[in-house]
Amino acid sequence: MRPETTTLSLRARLLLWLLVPLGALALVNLALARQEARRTADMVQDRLLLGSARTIAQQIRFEDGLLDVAIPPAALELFQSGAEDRVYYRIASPQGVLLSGYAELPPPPMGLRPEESVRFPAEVRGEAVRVVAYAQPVFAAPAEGPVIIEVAQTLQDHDQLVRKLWTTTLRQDMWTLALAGLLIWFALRRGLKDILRLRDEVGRRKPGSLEPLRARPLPQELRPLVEALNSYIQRLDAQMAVRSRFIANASHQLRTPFAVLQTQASHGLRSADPALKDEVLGAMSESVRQGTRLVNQLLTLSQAEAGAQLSRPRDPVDLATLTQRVLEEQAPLAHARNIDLGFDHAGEPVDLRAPAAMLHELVANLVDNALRYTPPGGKVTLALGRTGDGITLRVQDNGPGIPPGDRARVFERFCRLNQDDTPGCGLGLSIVQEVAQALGAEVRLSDPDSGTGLVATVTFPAAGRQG
Amino acid sequence: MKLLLVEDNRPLSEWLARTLRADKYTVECAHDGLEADGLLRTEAYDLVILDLALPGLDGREVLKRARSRRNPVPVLILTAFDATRDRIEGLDFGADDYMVKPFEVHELEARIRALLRRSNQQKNPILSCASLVYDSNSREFTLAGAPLALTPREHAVLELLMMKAGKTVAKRALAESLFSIDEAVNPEAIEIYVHRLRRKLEPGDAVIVTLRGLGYLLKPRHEA
Repeated sequence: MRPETTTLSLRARLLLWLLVPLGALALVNLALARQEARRTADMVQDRLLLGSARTIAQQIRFEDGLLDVAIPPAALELFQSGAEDRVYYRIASPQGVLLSGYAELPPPPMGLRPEESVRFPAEVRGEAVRVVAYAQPVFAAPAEGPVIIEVAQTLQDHDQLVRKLWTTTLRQDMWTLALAGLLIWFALRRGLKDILRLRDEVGRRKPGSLEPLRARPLPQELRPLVEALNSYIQRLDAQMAVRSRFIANASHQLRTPFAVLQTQASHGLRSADPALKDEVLGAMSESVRQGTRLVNQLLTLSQAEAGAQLSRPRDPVDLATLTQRVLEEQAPLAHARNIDLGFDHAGEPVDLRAPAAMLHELVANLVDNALRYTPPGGKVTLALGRTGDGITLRVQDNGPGIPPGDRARVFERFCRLNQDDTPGCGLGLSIVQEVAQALGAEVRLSDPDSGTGLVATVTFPAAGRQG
Repeated sequence: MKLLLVEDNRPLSEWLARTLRADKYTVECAHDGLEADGLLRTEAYDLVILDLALPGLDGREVLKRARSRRNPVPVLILTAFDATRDRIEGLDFGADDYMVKPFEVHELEARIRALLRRSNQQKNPILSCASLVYDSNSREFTLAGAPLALTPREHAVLELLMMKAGKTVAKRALAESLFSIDEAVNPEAIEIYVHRLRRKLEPGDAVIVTLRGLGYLLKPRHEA
């Protein structure tokens, strides 16, 4: 047993397809929000650090040939917050000599012009810090260049701010996502209602039910599907009607020979006259022959039908030899009916890729049909030829012919135009048609060039082009 | 008794007709619906055996037309269609019985007898006129207990007289039930058959009375 592949319901699948990208979007949003939060926190910290550095810078004087550095308390009060952050500062002379503060604070990575500031990350005593360096020009100082003031702060307050900003976004995203999921679910329930109804309608159908599906309260997109289904059902219906008509006809046709046999047998049994008994036996034998022919034709027909579904590479068959053989088989019937049966063919082989048995049935039924419907003394001629499209087989007789209006009908099963004089059950041309279809060939009925009669032309696609 | 057999299968029609003729019925055959319809318009039959799938005109249509002309002839449908729907349809169109092919000839014969009996409104299969007794099942006559040997034509004449025992039967009615459509009706021949029948009935006490200008009448001798 093959394990059943699990298929999610349409609703679950749609929900998944909507929620997964939505979740991905939310993730991207969160990443962006985190970046934004970090930038905001950086900016806040940098402003504080810069403010602090400037406050310190304003207090630097050059007096008595010395740089006087005083750290105003306001400069450090800026940093008072809930977090246990440590603040470091470092003031260095233009020459890089530490004037005040912590020597561990690294100097700025580049030289600074007066009143320029730079921010950079660093590490002090094993802790990450954010550093802002500011270059303060000191008037009247002999030395060239500004005094560099650096203020640094550990990142706890900064990180706290990042976290706070980010969590808010996260919470909002979660709520939005949950709400979206809920709304989608409701929307899908409503939107898929019709599809689910259709599913139930199809699911409830009895096997063999050929009623069309209702297309009305369906969304536009589904209507073509239902219409396609309905058209399929219609074709199926037509096919089944043909099939059941055939079966009814076939059983009708099969019963009749038995009814004849039974009547003949009972008539013969009642008589004591040996001559009459002989006559009955002869008639019964003829009935059996006809019944056998009918059964064979029905079998051929169902084989041709099944054959239409086979696709197979085949060996080439010589249609000329095959036709010759059929004519030899039919010669006794032609002789009995005093019909001149002839074959008009140059003799070179005409190869076709087709099952020989089916080809044989096709040719035999065409010839048989022509012989049966041609009055005694008539003429039946077969001809083989090649045309641009392929190979043609022509069977021409000088019988009564078929009026053009009836030509389509004679291919129907059990159709017999003239009941009176010919034994047969109206299956011959159906078989020809069915076999031709299975072989990809085409059958056409037409008038002969002169006189009365009928020409049946079968056109086969050229060998190798089919199958 | 004159039957119309409507059947398009030639061998079946031929052999069934032969069997029924051996049963001393007069049988006419029609091989398509139009022919059957034409015959039913012009001829009088005692029973019709009707196939449904007919060329020309469908058997159901033949039946429908006959009934719409108020033709009361008993109709037995003999067909290969055995679906319940077909049976119901056939009976609803006015058939009196329905048989499916293939069939037992004995059964068909029994049903024909039953239909003929019913149409002659005789529930009892045994008819009698004085010591002349007719068994409509075996279709045999006995006179004072002894079988009466009759030719098919004599049989047909006596049968009709027996069916209408006590009533006058016109010469023309006798002739029509005796000859099928393709035979020349010769009223003179009726007189010959009646004459022969009188001779054969002589030992018994049933007589055929001639009513000039009217026809014939079968009745017990002592009433004469």
